[in-house]
Amino acid sequence: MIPIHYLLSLSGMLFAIGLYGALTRRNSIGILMSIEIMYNAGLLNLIALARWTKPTPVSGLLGGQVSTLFILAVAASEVAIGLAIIVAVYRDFSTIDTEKVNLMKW
Amino acid sequence: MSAAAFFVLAAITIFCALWVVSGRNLFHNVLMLSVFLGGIAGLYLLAGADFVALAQVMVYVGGVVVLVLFAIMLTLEVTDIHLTQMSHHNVLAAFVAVGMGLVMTLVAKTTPFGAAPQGRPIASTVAVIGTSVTKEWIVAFEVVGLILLVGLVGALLVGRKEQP
Repeated sequence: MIPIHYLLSLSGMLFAIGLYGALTRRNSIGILMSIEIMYNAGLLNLIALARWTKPTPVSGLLGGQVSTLFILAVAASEVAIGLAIIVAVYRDFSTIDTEKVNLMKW
Repeated sequence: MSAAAFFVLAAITIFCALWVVSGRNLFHNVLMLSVFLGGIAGLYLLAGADFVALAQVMVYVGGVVVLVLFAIMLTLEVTDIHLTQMSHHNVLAAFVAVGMGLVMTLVAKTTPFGAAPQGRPIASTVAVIGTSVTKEWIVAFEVVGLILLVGLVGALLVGRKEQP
């Protein structure tokens, strides 16, 4: 098996790449995709560390994998709501460029 | 052998993530995102999580990517498809991201984790996950169902047309 810090450093690098995308993209859907990259990097971290946690009586060493399933479901629903918001914003402004949707800028 | 598989999957995921955050064509970015999610599923398989890898493929590649494509089709502008510009904070964001990545890599490398707790990974995780979801994590299971219901109703409410 590979050493654990390979997976953890990979997840750190993917998180950093997603963070760069979330900070620089102008398209709102591009920002959402970068947030998805960050989510998946965090989940990779959870799965990699699942065997190092203290074993629980029922799920043994798989507590990290069960948590990952729940966070996966929550992340999918969050993407759905975010996209609904983007569609509603497009209906009002006819653009989803974050530099142009600036009514609250002073 | 698993080290070679890890490096191949790591190269695929890093390449696809870099394309997603800095690509020009929006459709290409979404397709690269789906390949990225498939690469992450391969890494889950490498870490011994077979059910989570399949759930990832079904939910993310089969659900979330399709949803993002729908949203792109619904919000497409004419000038948007070939030129997705970057904002003006490129250098500062790159500095922040590179710094954070370096810090996390260093922390992962220098933490004394010790030896792996078990030699052989578990053969099939589906039975154990099923038992633990209905016995130990039952409250979280029900709450996630509630979250999904609220998300569904909320997305419908936010995205519907205004009644004249």
